[in-house]
Amino acid sequence: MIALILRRVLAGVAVMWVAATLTFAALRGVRGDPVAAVLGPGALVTPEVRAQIVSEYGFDQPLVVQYLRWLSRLVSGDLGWSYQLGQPVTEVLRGQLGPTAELAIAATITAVLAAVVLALLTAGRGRTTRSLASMAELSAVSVPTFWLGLVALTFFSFRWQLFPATGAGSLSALILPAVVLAVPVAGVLTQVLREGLETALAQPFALSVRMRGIGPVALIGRHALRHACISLATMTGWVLGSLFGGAVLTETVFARPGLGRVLLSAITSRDLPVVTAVVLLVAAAFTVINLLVDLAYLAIDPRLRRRTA
Amino acid sequence: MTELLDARGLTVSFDDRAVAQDIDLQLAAGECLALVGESGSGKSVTARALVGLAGPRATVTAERLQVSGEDVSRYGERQWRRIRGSRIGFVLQDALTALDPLRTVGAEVDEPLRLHTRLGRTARDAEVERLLTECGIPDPERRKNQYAHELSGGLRQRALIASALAAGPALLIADEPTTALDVTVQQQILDLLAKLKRDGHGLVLISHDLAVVAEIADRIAVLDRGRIVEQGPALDVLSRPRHEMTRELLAAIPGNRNAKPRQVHRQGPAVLSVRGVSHRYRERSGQYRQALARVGFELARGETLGVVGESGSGKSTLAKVILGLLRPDSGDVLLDAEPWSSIGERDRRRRRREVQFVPQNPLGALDPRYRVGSVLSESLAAIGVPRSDRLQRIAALLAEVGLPPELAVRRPSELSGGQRQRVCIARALATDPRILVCDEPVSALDVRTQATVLDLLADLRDHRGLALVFISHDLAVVREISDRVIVMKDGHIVESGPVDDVFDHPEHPYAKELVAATPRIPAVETR
Amino acid sequence: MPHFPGPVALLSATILTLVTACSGAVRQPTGQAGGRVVFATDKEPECFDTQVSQSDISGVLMRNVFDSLVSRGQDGEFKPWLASKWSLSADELTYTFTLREGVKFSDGTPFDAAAVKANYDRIVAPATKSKYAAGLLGPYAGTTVIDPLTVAVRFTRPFASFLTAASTSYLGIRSPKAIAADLCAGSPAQQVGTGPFLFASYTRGQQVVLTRNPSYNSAPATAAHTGPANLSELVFRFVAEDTVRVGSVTSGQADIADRVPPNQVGTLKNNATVQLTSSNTPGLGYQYFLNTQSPLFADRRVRLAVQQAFDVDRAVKAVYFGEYERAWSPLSPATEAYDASLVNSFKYDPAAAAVLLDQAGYTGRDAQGFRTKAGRRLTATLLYVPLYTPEDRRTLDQALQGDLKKVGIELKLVPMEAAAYEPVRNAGEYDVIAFAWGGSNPDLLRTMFDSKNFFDAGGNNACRFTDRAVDDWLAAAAASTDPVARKDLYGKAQRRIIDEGVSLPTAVSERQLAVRSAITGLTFDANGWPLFYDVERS
Repeated sequence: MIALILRRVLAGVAVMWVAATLTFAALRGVRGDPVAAVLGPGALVTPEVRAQIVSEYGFDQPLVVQYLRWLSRLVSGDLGWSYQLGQPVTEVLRGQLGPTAELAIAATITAVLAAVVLALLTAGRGRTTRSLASMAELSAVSVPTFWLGLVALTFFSFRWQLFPATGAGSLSALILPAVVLAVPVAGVLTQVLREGLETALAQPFALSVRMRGIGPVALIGRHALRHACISLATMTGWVLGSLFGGAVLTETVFARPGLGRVLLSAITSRDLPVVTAVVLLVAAAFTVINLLVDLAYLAIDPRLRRRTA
Repeated sequence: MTELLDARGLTVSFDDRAVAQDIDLQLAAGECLALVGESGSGKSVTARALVGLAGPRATVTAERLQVSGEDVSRYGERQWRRIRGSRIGFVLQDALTALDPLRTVGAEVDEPLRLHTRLGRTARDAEVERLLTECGIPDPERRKNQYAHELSGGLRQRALIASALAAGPALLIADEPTTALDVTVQQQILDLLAKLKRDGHGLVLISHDLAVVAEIADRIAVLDRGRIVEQGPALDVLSRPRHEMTRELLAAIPGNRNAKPRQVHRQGPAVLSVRGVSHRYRERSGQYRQALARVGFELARGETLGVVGESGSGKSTLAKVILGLLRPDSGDVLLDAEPWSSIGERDRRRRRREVQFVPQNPLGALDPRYRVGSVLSESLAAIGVPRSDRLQRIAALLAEVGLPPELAVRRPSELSGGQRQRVCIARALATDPRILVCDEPVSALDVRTQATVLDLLADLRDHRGLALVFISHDLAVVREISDRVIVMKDGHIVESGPVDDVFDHPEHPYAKELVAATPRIPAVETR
Repeated sequence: MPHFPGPVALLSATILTLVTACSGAVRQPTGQAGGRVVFATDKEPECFDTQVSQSDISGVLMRNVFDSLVSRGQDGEFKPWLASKWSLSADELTYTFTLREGVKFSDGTPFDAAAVKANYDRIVAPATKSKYAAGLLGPYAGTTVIDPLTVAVRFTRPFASFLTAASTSYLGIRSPKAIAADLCAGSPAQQVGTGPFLFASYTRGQQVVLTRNPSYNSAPATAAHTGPANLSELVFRFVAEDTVRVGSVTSGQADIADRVPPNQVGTLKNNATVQLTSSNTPGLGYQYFLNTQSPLFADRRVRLAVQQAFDVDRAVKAVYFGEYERAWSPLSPATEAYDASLVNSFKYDPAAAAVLLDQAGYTGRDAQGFRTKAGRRLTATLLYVPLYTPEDRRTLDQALQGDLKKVGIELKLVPMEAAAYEPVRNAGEYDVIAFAWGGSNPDLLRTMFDSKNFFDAGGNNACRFTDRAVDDWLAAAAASTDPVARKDLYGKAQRRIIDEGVSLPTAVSERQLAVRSAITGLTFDANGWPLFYDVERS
């Protein structure tokens, strides 16, 4: 168990290293002047500033030296300097990770709860229920987040004044964006979970269980749900990770701080140091989440424990 | 004495199509009734109808359906649930999947107790241990906290039986309870069921194999196409079968039938030589396991070598080495006295067509999206048969394995188990091989199909002069087709020799045990 | 199969609890004496250092933190602020300011001549990397501290725009103690001025909180009161989405919504709790610049044909729901030296346009009905960056495209990625591009139309217009301190630009603000930007 965690942490470090290497390659792989790549388009700088960037990034050094320097800077937590924003990248990102994690986790929890309820209600039902459920899930997945956010705001915030429209940091400000973000996710998770439930219910053990006189509720609750949770965990981990950098629409509508907006504006303005930092942060989030998902697998499925013991 | 089970005129139909019709079954305490038939004969659906689980789309009607004297014919789901587990216990085949793999066997055995008894936690705990002990599981305190996959096949099948018995049902229905098991383990489970019968349980035993039920059944009912065609005391049915189906089932039991006389035996020099082959795997724990230890034999054209042993004895590793898929740690495999296992993959690829494989599970070995014709065409293409010739060759191959040509457009899921295995054999033949390695080729088939596939393999061997390596845990099957046999245990060959010598006079204790465990029909007279 | 009355009931109960627990979550902004006002605006400053930043929102926001030497009312008059009086030397090269006494920065540093010098010198220092303020200082030569309360700002040549520049927040004075290399970050320690509000906190992506400076004693003479600001707290909330911004104000979650889109103006007019206030935006409104060096528009007749073929009235009315006037000059009416005589100086006349195109030799027609000359279709390209082009402007582009098609001109709208756009733009490889540029100083015309100010030279002469007369008029106007002369010179330039058909103005954009009825005292500066010092909550 501990060995497994250790192995996964090492794997995570490896992933981070690859991510760092790739971002380095992206930064240096840009054709033309690397200083211009750091500065972003259209910047007119004095030779002194240019010289400072060259020496800071070591563009006058051999590639290997630059690479090692880059790595050691990252290890020491120095994410560099955004010349476009005129401040350290850590300053740009400060206060963004918290609201991002808050929103991603709240949305994921909401989606998982909704998916569990909906999948339990619809798994193994007749054709009408199933096609209705599929239709609902499809529309949940395909409804534009932007539009949904505006509709939710119009009713729940502007008309009935139940929740604040914008802001971050309080529970009431979190609920609307989390629910809006959760809707498409819940659509996907419900499908995954229902499919998992039905696969489990089709297995011989389900018949065994019923032959003991167990009713459908206990069959699902005590047996099938746990099987279905394996695929749910996989999907949930993926969703949670992708929400870390990808909740930009929700963040925009609800005027919330977040990595997604920082990333988007950095990409559009070609602020490579910021893009790099966000990419690394998201990679780190994915690494941590994957570790958690692996632990969840172990908790759910004893068959994996022995193989990895 | 009240009947535990009394069914008259039981009919199960799906969408107005009867799959079991006019079934009459009676069972008293301490009695064992066997339901025997081919797959698709309606035996399983009948058994499930007896616990109200024939399926949501099934219509079940009966003139009378009583369990322990109680009329259950109009029971709704809620009432059935009260009966299931408490009056009727049900055992499915393959405990690895029939027990919830994510829960400990203790929890599984405990579940009916929680549902049907008012016992407290500690009392249930004690009861779980007692049940495990009763079903022959040693060290129950430890075992109850283990999962199905952590137990051996025999132990987990016992645990499954314990879970069916937990809430004290007088009637036990067992649907192919030994099918997935090794022969010695099968014997142990049959012994357990016999003991339960002696203890007063009524037993309905469902199997495709008359030899298996012969030992413990008091009465046998033979099903064919949804109807009971013959029912009577076991000895009568076995010794004086009246219906054609019964006779066919009896005749199909390996070793029990009149195998075709061998026309061709060993011809010429060895095409396959295995010399002192050893191989070991490193397990996750870091320990090494000896899968093969100095294994050696020779095989000539037209000859069959049977390889016998239980799971884990090294049979499948040996198959991989012969197929050139695994390079042994030491020792050599030669084809026509030329190096085979020691050469590079590129050189080996040129001769791969000469060594072909027939798998155990044809459904898994065939791509579900490929039609039969495409499967064969692919193999033909691999040896360079031009496109224009392939259709003709496909038809010839299908004919050779006894399949009609129109099957070429079907997909694997549209075929029966026997047909699928024939397709696998045809695929193996497509490259015109000289050696065929068959790994448990008939284990997944029911007895009658098994017999026809064995006949086919023997025919092909004789007509094509194939050298056959035939791997099986089933001694009777091996005996029927092999010239010589090797018995394997823990990677070693513990006994080898001509097939009749080994089976009639086994010397190694393990070989003796294997032979003794083979189910046989006592004092059976066949035509 | 399974039946679950349980979970449904449970879920509804949960939702109910949540709803109950959260009602009342929307608090009305209340607070200490003076109260709190939330200003919802669409943009967020990328840099809070107005001496570096070029964005409007930085200027609007930091106006509340930094005072300037002089103040300029909406009438264009200059009034005392940090400087109580000033004079211009006879050679028009030196401005001498007498500074207000007893003013302190919020970190306790006294405001004096040395502080002015430190600020101005910093703005022009290359290390500051100023994107806008340095330009505002024009031919800056240096600042001389004469005594603690007297300072002289010197120029290398007469620079008439200086007072206008000095009145903006881009030349606002920050505490010399807090001056360092990089001051972009929104940290309170960096943003220290003498202004009516203190920079309290910044949450990126969300808001800036400003709190009242209790010892403020340097209100500009243009303001309605003196002493500390009326509000105890002022929040700038960054809400990019129009609907949300407006909804926040109608529902009382914000007090003022910036930039109400024209399509929402109608509904707000019927809302009793919200008032609409508008300010005309000085500068150059959204307009089309025809590249006079492209093969097509080198011919003045083709440019004029485009001018007369575009039904501006109809397009503006449709796009802005009748809320905006159409424009006649490259400068908007709120700009100093706007030439009102241009109104109705040309008209929509597709027939006349057709004649001009015939004269220019585009007499053929192809299968799609477009004009041709020597077999080549009359095709113009309009480059745009979708990211920076709001929907209203795109709709205007399409209206232009449709009108031009009617006279046989094909206008291709070519979307480009921002990064790819810039080099193409700088090389002049386009027929038309369009943008707007804010600013109250008509000297803007110089960066837009002076022949020395092509893109690659750092200017914005999108027409690649080379007209010696215009160059001369604009230079003379910039150097002149005589308002009448300036107005005359700038008027000539505007008329020439329209006569030549190089610029195609569209609408006179207004900044519409939705203000809750309880809020009073909102005013605007010469830029049309909102001022909060006098704002009160009743």
